[in-house]
Amino acid sequence: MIEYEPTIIAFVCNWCTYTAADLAGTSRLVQPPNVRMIRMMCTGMVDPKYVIKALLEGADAVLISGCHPGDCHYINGNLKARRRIKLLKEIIPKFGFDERRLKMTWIGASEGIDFAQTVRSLVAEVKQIGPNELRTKMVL
Amino acid sequence: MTSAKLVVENRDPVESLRSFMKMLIEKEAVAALLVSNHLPMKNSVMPALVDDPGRLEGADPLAPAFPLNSARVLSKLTRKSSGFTTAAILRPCEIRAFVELVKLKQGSTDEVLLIGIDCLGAFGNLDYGRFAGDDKASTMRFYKKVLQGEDESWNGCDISPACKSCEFPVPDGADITIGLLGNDILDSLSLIANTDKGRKALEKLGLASADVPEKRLEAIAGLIAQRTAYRDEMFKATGEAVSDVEKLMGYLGNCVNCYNCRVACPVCYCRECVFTTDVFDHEPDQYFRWAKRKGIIKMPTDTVFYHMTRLAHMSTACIGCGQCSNACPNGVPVMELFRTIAHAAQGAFDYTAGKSIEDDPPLSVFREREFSEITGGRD
Amino acid sequence: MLARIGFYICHCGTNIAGKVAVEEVTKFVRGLRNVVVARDYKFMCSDPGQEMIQKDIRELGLNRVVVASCSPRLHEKTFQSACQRAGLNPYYFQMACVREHCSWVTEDPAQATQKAKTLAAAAVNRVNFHKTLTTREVSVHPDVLVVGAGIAGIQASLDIAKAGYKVHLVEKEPSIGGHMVQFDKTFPTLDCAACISTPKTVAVSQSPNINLLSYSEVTEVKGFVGNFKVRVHRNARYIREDKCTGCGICAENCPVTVPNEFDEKLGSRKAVYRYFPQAIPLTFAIDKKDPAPCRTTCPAGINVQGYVQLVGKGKYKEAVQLIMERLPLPGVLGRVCPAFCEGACRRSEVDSALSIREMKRFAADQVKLEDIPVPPIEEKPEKVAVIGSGPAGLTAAYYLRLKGYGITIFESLPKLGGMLRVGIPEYRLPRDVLDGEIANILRLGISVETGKQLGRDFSLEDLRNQGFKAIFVGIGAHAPLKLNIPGETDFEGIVQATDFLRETSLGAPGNPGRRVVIIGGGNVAIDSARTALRLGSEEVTIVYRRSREEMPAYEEEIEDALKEGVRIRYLTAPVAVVGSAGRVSGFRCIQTELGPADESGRRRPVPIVGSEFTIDCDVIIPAIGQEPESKCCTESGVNTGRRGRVTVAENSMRTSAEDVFAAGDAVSGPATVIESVAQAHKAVAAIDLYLRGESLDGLPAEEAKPKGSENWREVPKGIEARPRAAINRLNLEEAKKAFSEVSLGMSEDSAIAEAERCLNCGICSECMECVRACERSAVDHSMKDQDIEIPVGSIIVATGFDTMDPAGLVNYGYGRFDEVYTGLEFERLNNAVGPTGGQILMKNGEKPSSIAIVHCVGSRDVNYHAYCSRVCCMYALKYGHLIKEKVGHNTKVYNFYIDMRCYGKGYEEFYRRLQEEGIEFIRGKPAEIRREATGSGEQKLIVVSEDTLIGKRRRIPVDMAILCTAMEARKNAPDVARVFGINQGGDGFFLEEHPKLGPVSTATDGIFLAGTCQSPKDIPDTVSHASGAAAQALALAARGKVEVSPVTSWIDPDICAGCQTCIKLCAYSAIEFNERRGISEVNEAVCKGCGSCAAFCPSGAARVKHFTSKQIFAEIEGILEGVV
Repeated sequence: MIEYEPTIIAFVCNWCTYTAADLAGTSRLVQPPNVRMIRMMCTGMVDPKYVIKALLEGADAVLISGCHPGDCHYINGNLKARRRIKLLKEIIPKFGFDERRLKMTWIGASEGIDFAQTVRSLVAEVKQIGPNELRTKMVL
Repeated sequence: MTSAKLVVENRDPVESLRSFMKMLIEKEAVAALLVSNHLPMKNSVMPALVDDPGRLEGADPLAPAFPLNSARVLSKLTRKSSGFTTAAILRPCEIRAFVELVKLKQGSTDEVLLIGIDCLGAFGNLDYGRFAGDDKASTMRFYKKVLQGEDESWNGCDISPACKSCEFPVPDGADITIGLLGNDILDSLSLIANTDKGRKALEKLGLASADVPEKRLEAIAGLIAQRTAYRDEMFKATGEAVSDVEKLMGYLGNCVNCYNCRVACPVCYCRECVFTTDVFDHEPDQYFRWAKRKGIIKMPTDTVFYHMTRLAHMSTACIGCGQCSNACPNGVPVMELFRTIAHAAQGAFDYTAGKSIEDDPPLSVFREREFSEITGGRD
Repeated sequence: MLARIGFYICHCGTNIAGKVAVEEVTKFVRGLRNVVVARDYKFMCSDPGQEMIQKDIRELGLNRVVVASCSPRLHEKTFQSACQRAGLNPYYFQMACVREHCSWVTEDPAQATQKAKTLAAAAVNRVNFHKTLTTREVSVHPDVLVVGAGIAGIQASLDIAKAGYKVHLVEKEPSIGGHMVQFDKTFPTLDCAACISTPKTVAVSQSPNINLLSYSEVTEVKGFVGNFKVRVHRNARYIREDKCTGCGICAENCPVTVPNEFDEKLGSRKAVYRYFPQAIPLTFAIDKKDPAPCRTTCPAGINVQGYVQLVGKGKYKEAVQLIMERLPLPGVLGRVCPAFCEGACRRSEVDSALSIREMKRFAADQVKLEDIPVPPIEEKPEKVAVIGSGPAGLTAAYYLRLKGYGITIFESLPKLGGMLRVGIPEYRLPRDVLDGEIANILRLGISVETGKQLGRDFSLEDLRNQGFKAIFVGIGAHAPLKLNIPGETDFEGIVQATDFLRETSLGAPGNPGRRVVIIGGGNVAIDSARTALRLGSEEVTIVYRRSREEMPAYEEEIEDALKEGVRIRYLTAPVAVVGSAGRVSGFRCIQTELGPADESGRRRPVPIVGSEFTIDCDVIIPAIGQEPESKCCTESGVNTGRRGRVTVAENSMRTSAEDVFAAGDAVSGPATVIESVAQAHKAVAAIDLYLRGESLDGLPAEEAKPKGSENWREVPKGIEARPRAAINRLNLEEAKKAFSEVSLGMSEDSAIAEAERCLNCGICSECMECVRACERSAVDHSMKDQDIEIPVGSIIVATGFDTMDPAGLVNYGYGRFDEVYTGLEFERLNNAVGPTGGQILMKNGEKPSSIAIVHCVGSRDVNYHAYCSRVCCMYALKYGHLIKEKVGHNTKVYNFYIDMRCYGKGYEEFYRRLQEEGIEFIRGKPAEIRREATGSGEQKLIVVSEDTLIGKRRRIPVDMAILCTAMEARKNAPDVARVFGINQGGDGFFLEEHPKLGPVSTATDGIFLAGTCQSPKDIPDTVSHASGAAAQALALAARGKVEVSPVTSWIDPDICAGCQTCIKLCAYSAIEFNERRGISEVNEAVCKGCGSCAAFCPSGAARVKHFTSKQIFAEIEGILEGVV
């Protein structure tokens, strides 16, 4: 396993996980620097092609994280997202992507600690898997 | 009445089917008829909408030609109410595609009598030309070989891989099934009503009720077994061929982003594909920045992206008719790829595209408690 | 238009610059496409910082701005408005969070800088594709909804009302004031809570701008900021607010007593109640659950809980009147009812079911029916004939007469009463009781024709000709069933039980014989046996073919019979009657054993071959059941079915003849009295409808009640078990010599004691005492809950807190030791209107001489709540003062604390004052409180703790201990959060928009927080918080308009294929299908911009503004390019 700094793109919802990430920040919960957050209003607006794009362009992993079921600021956007991720998890691994490169979690607004923990473990896992060559490879 | 016998006059099933169609229009079961038809000027087979019962001379639902999936044509006829009832004589995969389109509000069954015909397969477009030539009677050559096993020449052509791997040779979704399997088609065909609509229509025709030949079931089972076996082989081979992105790129190597596959695809119902919208006309400098990052990029770009996205969009609706491959100018085996993924995708949602209008498309519904494994069991 | 981007990175003092090399980032960004200027500055959010941006926009013609600083959730709006001030559309701004997500969480500066670069690159790349968006203005409804009427809700409402805006104040309790009005004094000023809160509660009731919706709950909130639609569920009070004067006579008369939540269950209240005399609104409310099981189980639907409660209050007349609403024979049923109600009584979950039947009897025995006035009857012209005067006939006659119909009873026997008279022996049902109640029924003006038998003396047709418009048939079941054994009819000395009992009742038949054999296992058999004894028979034997378990006779009857010397031969079946010289000489029987169950569910007796034997006897009385003599009916065109039973429609008791109705044993075969009464009620309702010419279809069939679904009062925990009331009875040796009644019923004391065991499952017993008592006729038991919908512009959530239940901390003994109290309980003990009238007394009524106050119970405790509840230290001090003041200065008060937190205005001074008052402070958290005998032998509470200041272990004996329990989020906070679409924090309290800068706002525009629902607060903080929330709501209302984000979905009409899947997915029904154009269209006023549609739409026709695919792609590209 080659030591490398993965780049993880996270699509997180503004109301729960992004808030949790802020909380983790204000609580100074140290995390590896590898996660780059893209703020969405709701996981329900994460279009499958964003995930495909990120992976094809070389993101080492993609994290989708939103409110727990029942807590969605938009009632049930997170539940729709879950089905879309379920579908992607059927498709993407068929083309050799390690299934663990696509992760979905529920992290509530108050769960800063969970957020930091999720980041830590995801980074560790992705380091295990190794880099996604596509970032510098000819794929489009 | 649930089933009747269509007696074949002087051993010519095509002609007998024409008189059956004539009856359909004359006995006012329907206003017009959508059926494959030999063009008068050239022997190529295209769907035609027949209003005049006197103009059925070219109609040939048995022709082993499959130039396009008529579900698309039928959706044009039924997207809004027209006030006319049509009978559409379709292949099983066309009916299943239509079912998907109906769910997507691209068509309606209200004014259609769906007549399905047992499908023993069809040639790809180029092969059909080679097989049939100008011989408009070529159709029976096909059946003599597939049904009677008589040694008829196909000029080295074969039915398309989509058909070989199709485990749905029988049109379950149809109002009326025209049964070939289990019959000696030179002697008689079965007419089987599967719905009330179908029963009423059959009654209007006033045919004598007759049982379906026992041999039918066994014949169907045999054919399905054979095709499933072929299909599973195909899944295995294709899975191998795309098992990483490198291979996938090779697999799609000939793709020129013409998007014919999605134009030909009956369930790609978008008026305009997102890949042809402004989302994908990148700023010129974008290409250079990609090239900078990767050293070299294939042009045109977004090829793999296109196919993967299309998989995400319609693998749950793919009914495996193979028109994508048929339409590809560069022989990319699109059907094999899509069917392989679609099989898994539909399995994941315990969904079978085209099976029933009642089943919601997987991404159009959701439940509070499901797939908790996605989020590591947390809910 | 070419993008001209300005980039600014904020040092945020050292918060960012301390980790991130801001200059390096600036330099990197300068190299990015379309970036015109890149700067760094100490505090971008400061005025100079914002000014810097505006200047560049103006002078460098920037048309895009990116700021890398803190979280956009904090300052996005700040910078957007800066852009706007400089004339740039705020949506050309993008923010990168390099503090919370970068400098604060990354250890290595190099990595932090690297990450900052990529985040900046992402933002810069994205902003290229931003578009002009114009914020929509929507009008704001001026009204405000305030949820919860504690001091916070009250303060907010008053502020808003004062400003001239309308407030809808919803409170789930029947009165307002919340926890504050439960308190006695308030720290540190020690002014009394009531004195300072009542002026406010009164003001609420008097303000024309406040619409107080007490005893109500919000069940649904729809819409968005400025335009909410709120559904409020109003619980029925059963008291008219417009009529009630709050005089309280209803409560004085209410018999039902339950624990008072307001007094923390230390005191009690009535079912009709008001928490305290100054309560607002002063209207009382009636606490009603589902009807009690005893009542719903009674076939006749008698209000059992009601009369039990009345008996408990010695209101026997009222009790009997209540019973007679459903049953004209209280004394009779008080003796012979099988009392299904007792089977359903939930008291059996504690000890044993109430002795309900006996209470009914007791009540009946205390009342002279003639003292009860005949209710006014408005006469109707129609006449109804009632055939048969058993329980069914009498019931029908009584209630039909009350409805005004002319009634004539036709009875074949010389006297009225049917089986009550000729079936049930006198020692069970004294004749004077029966006669009295029959007389009372006839008092209504009912004519009687005895000795008239249907079929013999008249026909139904005759009755019709005599002008009877409807006929009720209640002829009972008097025809004995045959034994069908040899000799049955050959000898003298065989008497049918029914004949035997009838003759005995109507005039003594003399001695039935020396040795009597009775056949059967029902009450009739037992009755015959005991009657025979009383007539002088010496050997009385009952022969029953099954075992004791299967015997249908009442258990206590069998018991008494045996005690009186009746022999019962179980598992013995009849074979033949043996006789000589024309007289019975013996009864031949055979032993049986029990085989499999038959259709009746009872095990079928199987004769044992060769086990035959003979009982010598001179009289045989078969008592194996009866059937109706219904020939008379069939003759006159009324159909009968199996065993001669009259066939009727189940819901109306109507027979095959449309004007003939039947009930009782004639319909069901031999059954209980109460079931006959029940059927008669059905017939009465049907006959009334029929005579008024209405349809009978509406009458309910036997409705199956859904079990377990009932909402009854919970069976209280920890109530002491008490035995079922004893019943006095004659000594059986004496009893069997005569026909005087065996059971003497219960004493008044035990009747009242028995009533007190009632759990009041329905809480309100609907005894209607309150209705009788209220001179303003304000009580209305027919009120229904209702739902109303209110439009409001903003919402203030002020739902308050709960105090933690310390039972979980077993080591403190709460719930185990009487003298361990919670803080709130102690407040009530202190309160002038509390259970002790404000005296601090122990449960034994004595004053405590020493009291321990334990701080931080459940607070500052990782096992319960990590947070500090912020008020305990102070109220603990307050308690110390009050104890010294009320109990006396020699009373010892020990405070067990971790730290004293006296941060508020005047708090520290109060602390000092209390120290001077001689309160003991022990720094240490008690390990446990136990109960032990002290040296002097008396039981005391021992508080075991370490004093961490002197480093010693202390064991302090006290009389009383007060636990300062944590303030915690309401139990139903999760549900409330869902209704209003707000979040809960980790501690369960509602989450504010920002801990410092947005303590009253929530993530949802237009919904604000006030008071302790957001976090523990003392009263001053709560009041200020509430005023803050009011100001926020007023700001919206006063402006009348509000900008709502333009970040909504939009569907490109040229691309949409009209599949309508987005419509299915939209949680807000914000998308409609345009039939004409064949496309879906977004209603932007309703759309909240969640993007569920966009993420599905394969063609990308549906898109969310400001979150378009192009913009997200650009952000992704930016991130991956930034990685070098």
